[in-house]
Amino acid sequence: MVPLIELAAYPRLKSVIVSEGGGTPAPGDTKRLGEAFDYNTGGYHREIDILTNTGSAQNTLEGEIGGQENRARVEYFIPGNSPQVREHVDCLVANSGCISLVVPAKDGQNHVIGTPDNPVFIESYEGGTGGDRNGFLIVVFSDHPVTYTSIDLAEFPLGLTPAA
Amino acid sequence: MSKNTKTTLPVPSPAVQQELISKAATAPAGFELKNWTFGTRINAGKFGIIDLDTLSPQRAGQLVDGGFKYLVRKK
Repeated sequence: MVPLIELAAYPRLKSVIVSEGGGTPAPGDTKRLGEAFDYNTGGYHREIDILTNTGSAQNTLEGEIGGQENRARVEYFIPGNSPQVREHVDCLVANSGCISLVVPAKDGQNHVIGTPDNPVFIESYEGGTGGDRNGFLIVVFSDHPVTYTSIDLAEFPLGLTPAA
Repeated sequence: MSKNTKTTLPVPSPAVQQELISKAATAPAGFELKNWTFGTRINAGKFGIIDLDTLSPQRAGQLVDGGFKYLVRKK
């Protein structure tokens, strides 16, 4: 997760970069980011550990004809009720509408959800102690007009500590 | 006497601000960074988590040989 205010520039699509260079984009390039995230001084992505097999990143076409839109929805469960976990929940709420997420999938892809024009909002959270599970179930969403993009972290890594 | 309701957000001192920003990233001996715009720790996908504070020259060599483009051997 990164607050968008900590980014100097959001990565452009690979298809745009290839086209500007006079090339022909390969299949799938409109869904790939072709640059690394450009952080402002002090900017970085925050890591959040989730419980295995509790995460999902779905795209759904919602609305009636004439008003249809894509909605990307991410659901995950954070185990525990520690101060760090509750601090994360509070941080999500405080920055709702101002963040972007990178969601690793089991197939090795890393999905990027939330752009400066269509940021991630928190939809709901529920957790604490005394329920079926000890932890927080969190749902966030972004109204991308199209399905979300992916980024190859081997080529364009994420900064995990503040940029100098 | 009217109550002064003016408030200001707390601003960290320059020293504290500097602490919030990581120290300059430096490569292990024998290597140098190339186009490195991050802090000292990154998630590099198939290359894993790379922490320059603990990265050994041996591991750096493996990364370079594996095609990691943000590290190069010094000539």
